[in-house]
Amino acid sequence: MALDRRRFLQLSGAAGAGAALAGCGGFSTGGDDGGGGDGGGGGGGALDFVLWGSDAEVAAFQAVADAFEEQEGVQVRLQPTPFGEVLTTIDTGLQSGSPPDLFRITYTDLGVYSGADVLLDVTDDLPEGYADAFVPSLWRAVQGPDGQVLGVPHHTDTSMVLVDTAALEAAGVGPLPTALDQAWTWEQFADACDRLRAALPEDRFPVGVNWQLGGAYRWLGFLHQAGGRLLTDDLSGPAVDSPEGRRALEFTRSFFTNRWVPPSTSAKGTYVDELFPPQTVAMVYAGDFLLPTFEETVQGFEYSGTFLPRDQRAAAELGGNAVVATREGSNTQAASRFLQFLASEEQMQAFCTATTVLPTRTSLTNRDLGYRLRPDLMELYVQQATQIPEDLVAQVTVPQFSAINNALVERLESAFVGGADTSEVLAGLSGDIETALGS
Amino acid sequence: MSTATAPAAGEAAAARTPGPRRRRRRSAEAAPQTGVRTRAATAYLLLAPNLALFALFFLLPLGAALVLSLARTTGVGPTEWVGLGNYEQLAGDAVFWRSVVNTAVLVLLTVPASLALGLLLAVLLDKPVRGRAVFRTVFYLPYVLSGVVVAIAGRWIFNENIGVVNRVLEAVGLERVAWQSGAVPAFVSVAVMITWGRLGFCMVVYLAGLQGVPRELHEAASLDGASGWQRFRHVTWPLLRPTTFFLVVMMVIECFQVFDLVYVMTGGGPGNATQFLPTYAYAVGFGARQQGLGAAIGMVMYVLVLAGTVLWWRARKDQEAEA
Amino acid sequence: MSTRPRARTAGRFLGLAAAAVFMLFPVYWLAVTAVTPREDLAGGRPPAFPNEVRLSNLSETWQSLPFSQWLVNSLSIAVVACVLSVTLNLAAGFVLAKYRFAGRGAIFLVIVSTLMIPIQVVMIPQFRIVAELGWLNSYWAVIIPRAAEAFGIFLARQFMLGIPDELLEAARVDGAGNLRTFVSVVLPLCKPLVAVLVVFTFMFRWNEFAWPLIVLREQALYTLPVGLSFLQGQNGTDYAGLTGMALLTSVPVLVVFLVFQRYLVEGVARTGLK
Repeated sequence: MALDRRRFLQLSGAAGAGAALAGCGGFSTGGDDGGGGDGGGGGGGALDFVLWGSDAEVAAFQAVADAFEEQEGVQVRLQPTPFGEVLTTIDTGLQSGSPPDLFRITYTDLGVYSGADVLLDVTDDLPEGYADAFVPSLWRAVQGPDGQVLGVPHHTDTSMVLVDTAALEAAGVGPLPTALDQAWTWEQFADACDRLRAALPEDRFPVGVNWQLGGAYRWLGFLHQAGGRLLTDDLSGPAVDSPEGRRALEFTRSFFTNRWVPPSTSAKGTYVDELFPPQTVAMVYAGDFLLPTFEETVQGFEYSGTFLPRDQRAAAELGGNAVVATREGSNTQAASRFLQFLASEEQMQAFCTATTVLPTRTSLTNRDLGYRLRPDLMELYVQQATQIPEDLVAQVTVPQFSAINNALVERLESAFVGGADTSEVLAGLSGDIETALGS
Repeated sequence: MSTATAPAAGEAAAARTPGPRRRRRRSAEAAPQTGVRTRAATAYLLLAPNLALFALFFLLPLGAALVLSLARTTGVGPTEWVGLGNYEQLAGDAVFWRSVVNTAVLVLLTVPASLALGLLLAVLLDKPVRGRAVFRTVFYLPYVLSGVVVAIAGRWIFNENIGVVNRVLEAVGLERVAWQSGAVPAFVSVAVMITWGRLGFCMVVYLAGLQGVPRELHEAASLDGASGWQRFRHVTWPLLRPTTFFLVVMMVIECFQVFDLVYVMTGGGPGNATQFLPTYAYAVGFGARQQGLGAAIGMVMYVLVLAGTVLWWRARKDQEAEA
Repeated sequence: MSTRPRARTAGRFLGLAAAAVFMLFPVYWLAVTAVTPREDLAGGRPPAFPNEVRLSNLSETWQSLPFSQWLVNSLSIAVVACVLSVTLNLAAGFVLAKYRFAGRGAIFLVIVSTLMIPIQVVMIPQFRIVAELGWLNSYWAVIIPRAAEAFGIFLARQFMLGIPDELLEAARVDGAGNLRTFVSVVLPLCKPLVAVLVVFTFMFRWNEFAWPLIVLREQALYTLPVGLSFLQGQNGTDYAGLTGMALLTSVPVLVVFLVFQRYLVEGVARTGLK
């Protein structure tokens, strides 16, 4: 008890000192710039940039910010925010009239903002032919409903199938395809899963697919591989209730009925990247951004990778992030210049190399960027990213996509573990899409 | 160290006011009107800072949320007024009804369990026992951990493939349970983790409540030959009524605020087996950004708990020692 | 005769010990996770017994982010908010329990009803109000909107209902004013209540997450729980860091509990009528 009291007194002493220290910080109001939005108060028109990121990513952004300040004389203040809280932070800022000048955003979340007229239109600031330097589908992702440019495609990610090499060999699965045009067909993939199922014990599974929660849109990869679409060509209504949609849904549902995937990995289940290192799954659908984690956590077995299986056609998913500026920001001219600076070839190459993500400039996609981590796999990822279909991008960047993605979580869950039949799921999903688009 | 003895400004002023001390001259029973009025004024004076803060930071925002629930908006685009459209939409929404039922079941399962176990521990700790301080701290510890971390622990413990619960079941020759892919087991696993986390809260409040039970009453009952159980039943339990009333309301409210834990542990699945009102409100309001609809769910939650509390209060009021 | 109580005490001890094992089991797993080498935490799953205890997990995580600064912020906010709230709680609880005046029931219900407001629903309007007041990026934005606490008022009222009116009447007959009655008669009886209020209010303020996150927009001003969420990234969770830091950050809350808990059980003579 005496010890407790002493410790407590030390703590309260620390608190007192802390309060004294904080007197010049947290306990003062006014006088500081309250988060921008007040006509460039504080820091001479400095830009506030809300973002999330791993240590490596934040450091890489800081490097860009420093270089920009040196060149332009405008400070860019990074506001790192936990990933799960970024949207809330941005929304409250926008709704209370004190938005950040710049923010990082996934392509699939961008639609909400691009449809709401809150982003800075930089179309007229760009030099002639600027867009031609980017992968078309990714450039499409930062355009608003009227084709105006609302940001820059900063980088992309995509998934591939990573495999536990020894487990596949033991199951008699042949050599992995290493060229895009030889990627597995669905049938070959199914065959690999069957062999693995036969070879693996009860509590291990052939594959894990990353369609959990926010990743539900990754199921659209299967839909596109089957030749289907989620939305009509003019993006005005659902197109998923089709023979192709039926094929995609039945194929993915069979993953559960055949016990190819762990039953706990449905659309609301556990993230599969956590199941690969302990060898619960022998193959895993995983984005390139997971490689640094796997290099640390995969112990005691070798892993390699291959392309996503194809059916009527090949289709990779759109991952990665854009950076955008807000219309009500304090220094929109500088913000627009920063976007171009960030997306310049030199800065993009430096960023991608430092953080194991994929570039969006065509000049960089065909070049060896000198990835230090698993360059063998990164080379495949770079190739896989060329297969992100432009029409898929258009569908996942509609303003209502977050609502559609939520509907997708619900409907896939009902198909995978709820026992709902295919017609019911597709009809239900179509209804949800109509509701979302009709609002 | 000394806490909260700083008088509120109003109180100090009231004390310093050399008001007419008429109360001296009368017995407490026959309070004349003027005295009552002075006391009402003092009461409002003492309540003023609280009421001002509640009005500004809770009631005003609540009004704003009510207005929002009549609109269809993403929060960053144009707003469209739909009257009661959001409420109509909820009435026809199967997932919403599922969350209502789930929340009700959660209340019925976890509230009695948390209270009963918390009271049991408090009674055991009310008398001297070796290591009392350690036990109290151990039981309180889960309550201070964040929901996210409790959920992570729950996910490992109830993991279908390699979780410790299934391993133990196997070891004693029972079937494995589908804690993650089975609807009922998943619900049970969430309820267990929630109860585990809240026990400590109930125990602490009951410990304070037990202080209000005079020893003399127990001694007198003992001399009358009452057994331990009878003493608890007829002396302790009735005197703990205000505490129990408080805890029931608090625990029900906590069921209407359960979020982090479920979100991380099950994501509302499998299916919508562990979808509760708060998680659904969040998914709609923040996940899908249908803020108007999310606000409507919030309003429904508010009215449900409020109605429940009023009924509960009415039912208990006659038993409460009214001053 | 004398063996029976002893046997009973032993029985109580065994029962409590069994309960403690159950209560601690998940915490044990979190602790193991915190000190297991990260490469052994395949998919964030701790082994039943760690092969190696790596305490450097904790120091590494602590240094990888400005945790020291966040600790200072958290302590400053929690201490100030706690003193403020408990003072307001006691005043309001006393009035609602012991004063009879028009509108008492209604006011009590209105106050309790604020407990039931789903916080996410009112967060944005609250944010606007705080922004209008110019409090963003200051600790007052965290402290003031939560200073009036229905939870504490409700608890204080329920507790003070048990204070015998005769005591207050006696004090009044002796000519004590409101303040003196409160300080010399009510407060001494309220030690368990004050202990509970401090323990819980401190914990609520300490653990608060969503609200500080949106009103404190600079990393340097963050509190510990907000900082902790940095360990859950876009590409997965740092389980070792998260569990370790979560356990560490609960230490101050437990210290407060240890300091105040004796008032929960040291029999306070509550009858006052001896």
